Amino acid sequence: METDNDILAEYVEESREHLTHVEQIFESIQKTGEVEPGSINDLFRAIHTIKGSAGFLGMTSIGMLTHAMESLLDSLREGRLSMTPAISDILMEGTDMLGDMFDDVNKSNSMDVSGLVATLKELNSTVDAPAQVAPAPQATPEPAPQAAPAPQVAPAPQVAAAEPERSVADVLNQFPELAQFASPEQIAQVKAKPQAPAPAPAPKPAAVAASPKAPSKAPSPELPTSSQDKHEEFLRIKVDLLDRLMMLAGELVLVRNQQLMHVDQADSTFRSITQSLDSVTTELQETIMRTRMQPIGTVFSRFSRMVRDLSRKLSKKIELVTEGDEVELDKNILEAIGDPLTHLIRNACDHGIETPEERLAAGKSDTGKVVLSAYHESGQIHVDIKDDGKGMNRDVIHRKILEKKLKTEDELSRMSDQDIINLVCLPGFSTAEKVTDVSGRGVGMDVVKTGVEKFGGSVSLSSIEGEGSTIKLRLPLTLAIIPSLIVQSGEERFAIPQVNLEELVCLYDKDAFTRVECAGAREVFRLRDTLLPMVRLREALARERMFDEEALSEVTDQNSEARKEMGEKYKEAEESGHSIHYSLNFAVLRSGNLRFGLIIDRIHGSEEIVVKPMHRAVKGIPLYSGATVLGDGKVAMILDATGLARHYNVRDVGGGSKDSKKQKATAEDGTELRSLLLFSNGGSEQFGVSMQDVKRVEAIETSAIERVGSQEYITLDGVSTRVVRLEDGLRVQSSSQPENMFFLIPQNARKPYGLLVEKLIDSGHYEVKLNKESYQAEGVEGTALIKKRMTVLVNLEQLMHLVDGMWYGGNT
Amino acid sequence: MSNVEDTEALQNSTMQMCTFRMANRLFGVNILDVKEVNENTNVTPIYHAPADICGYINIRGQIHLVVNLRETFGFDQRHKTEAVSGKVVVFKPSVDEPFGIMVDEVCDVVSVEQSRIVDRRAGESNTSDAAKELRRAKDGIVMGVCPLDKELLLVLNARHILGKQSVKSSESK
Repeated sequence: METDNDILAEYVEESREHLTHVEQIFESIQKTGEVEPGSINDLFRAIHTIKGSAGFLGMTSIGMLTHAMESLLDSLREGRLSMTPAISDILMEGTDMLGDMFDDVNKSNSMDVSGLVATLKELNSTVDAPAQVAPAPQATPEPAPQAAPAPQVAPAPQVAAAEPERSVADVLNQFPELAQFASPEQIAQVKAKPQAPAPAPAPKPAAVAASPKAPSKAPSPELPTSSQDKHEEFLRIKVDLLDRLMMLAGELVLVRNQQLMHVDQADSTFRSITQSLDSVTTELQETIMRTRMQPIGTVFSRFSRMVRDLSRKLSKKIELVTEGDEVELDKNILEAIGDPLTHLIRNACDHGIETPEERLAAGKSDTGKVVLSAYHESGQIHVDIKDDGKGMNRDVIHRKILEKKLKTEDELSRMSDQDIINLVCLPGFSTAEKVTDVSGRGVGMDVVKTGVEKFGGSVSLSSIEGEGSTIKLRLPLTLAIIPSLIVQSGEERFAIPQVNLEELVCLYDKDAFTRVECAGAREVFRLRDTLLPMVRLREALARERMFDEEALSEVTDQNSEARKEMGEKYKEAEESGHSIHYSLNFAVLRSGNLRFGLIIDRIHGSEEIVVKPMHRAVKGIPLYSGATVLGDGKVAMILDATGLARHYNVRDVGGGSKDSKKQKATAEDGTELRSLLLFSNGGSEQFGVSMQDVKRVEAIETSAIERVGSQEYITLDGVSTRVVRLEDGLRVQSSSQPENMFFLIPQNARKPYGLLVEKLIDSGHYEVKLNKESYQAEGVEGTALIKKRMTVLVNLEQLMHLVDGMWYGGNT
Repeated sequence: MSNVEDTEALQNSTMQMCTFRMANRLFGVNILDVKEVNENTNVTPIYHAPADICGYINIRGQIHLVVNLRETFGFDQRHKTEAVSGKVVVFKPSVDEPFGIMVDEVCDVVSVEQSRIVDRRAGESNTSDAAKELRRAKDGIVMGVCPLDKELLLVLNARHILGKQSVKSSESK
């Protein structure tokens, strides 16, 4: 039994599309509780099409099942039956079964569909005319020889069964090919009882396929052809073709870059050609990137089914609400988040939502709600899974952690409630009292966390006991292109992904050799009350073996020697009237819960890089997460913060616990720890913006600001950037316009603009107790007392909207 | 399995070899495996990589790994930067993930009769000193030795160059 594989693959692909459509219809039926008249027809058509080709390809089981479903749907269509939950359930079960069969279509014939088929028949038999009950198909389950349907005479009655309102003559007219297969007696037989929609004794779907074109391409004329009308313009394209296209676009960008470097500015013709090449290339690359983006709704849609099944299994009432289905994500990420989301939703249903009785007792409605929402924020995609269940019990988690010896009593006592709740992500943790088949084996959250972090996302939990829990996932938009900081160590440049980067610190002159201190064998830096372990990139690269205490103290000794020398030289120079300039740059990186300072020689700036995986021969090196080609065509390695920290043997030097203690003390009265950039605008007011909203800060000279009409621009990296002043949008004192000012460039703007500020005060984590009443204006989040001064917290995004809605192209 | 492949390859009649020089020895690889010869010398070193990996180069937007066979074979070491100044023979994607080998000088394309390539595994005692030396260094990379008019051509199997190296990483798993 050989089937042409191409045809089969096409059939499977097509049928899956039909099944997806079927599922969608069921979902909407489930949601609204109403059956639109057209939808039954749609269902019928889809199932009918699957059935048609199934026979042709020899898929007897699929044929049998679809036939039974089709008969039932037909009764519904005819109005002999009305849609009941039982019917929709069995039909959905059938749809699932079909989905399973298409997963391994070659084995589909060995799958047992008889039970389901019998139930379908039984339901169909409740139709008022019992004569129409079809005999059990098992009676003659002889497989139809496909590709040779000629001797099978079944076709005519089969088609008649499918569309009982048509006379056999019609059918024969429509499928003239069938006529020659049907013996005159048979036709006569059918003609004699044209009203009998009873399916052929043996559902041999092969028959219908006698005219292979007929089932799928020629829908029966009586059926409304609405779905045929809306021809959507889609084209199936192989992913590797797209990948190749993307790679070529990447190459084109590099060629363009080289061209730009060598363009003769004096030659105006050449220059304009280069300019158009430049813009076309950029647009081309963006467009190709977009082809990989898909709405997250495709992942969300499968969960409503899951939640329904779970709620039945757990005998709870659960409703799933999805928001932001249209948010688009890179295909790779979309594929990767399916599993973590499944885990989280299962958790929410099993552990979160209570039984209806419990809910009523707690004064909630008996139906639990799980909200799945996706949205853009700060250049990342956020996915929240929120339930209104019982929430997490801090004490239970506390107890379990101690029971499983995952943390000590002492460690726990230093943690805030939210920190303790986040401990459920530890490997081996589970609070469920018993292991159910739904969840509770204690691997869930750990798997979710590692799964999400693997592709550069992050997970955070919050929960209020009795009110429910929220799990927030933060995901990068795309895996292929990431913003990163380019740094240099020795001769080589390296890329540090922006997600790992917290801040950059530059120490000048005296500070360069006095501020870094030794703590045991390690170098540390005191950064705003926390001790930051330092990692020297140069040393990390030079030593292939993982750092032990010995290597660490060697490095530390060497460098403290060097520092001493620097100090002496500096002193000498100072005394003799010269001056030597030293500087020390380091980047504060975060990997998981570890923070460390990475000492580098030079900072080049930020660049959007295309991530290429490591070659298999060098894949095992923990220091790198990939490689990239920089603008000038040279390859740079992408540093992996986690691997780097592990290689350098970085341990938490104990600075962090202080922070969390503070957090604990303040978490109760509504304050939160936020990372802010504080600035002033000439006047006495102090302002703050969220650090995560700021992409970078540029020191500029005000003489470089140009005016066009009423708007101001400044050229940064060759891009004219709109200058927004605080006083444009808010009623605050205006700047005195000194020669040197600062320019804050926001994180997620599609159009270049920035906020002009006069003076930077500080940046760091501050306890913020937001007061929304004292100063109300658009573009302002509220005020808070920071460093004993009233500080206006500016919402950059709103402010830009306010100043020029047209210009700002951020979140939609 | 790979031995079978090799022997089969050896039994076919003639084979065109792309030849190149390294440490004064003449080497050749099947020309069908070669994609191009590139003069890109802008190699980015990969710290912590095995010693015989030079680093990465960018060839028209594609990142290629560059292997230094001198190191693999344990030939007299020149200064590392000097080794980097040579040409790179880049292999086709069908051979392995994108990679090339650093050579001193690219020579002619030579047609070799298969029968003249002596499989070093067969008659070890008869082979030259050079071949013995190579055998010690890396098994599998050298398919055999072919005597040309003036000197010996060492025939390499490009598919085994990194295959051997990946043993390291698979061991660590």
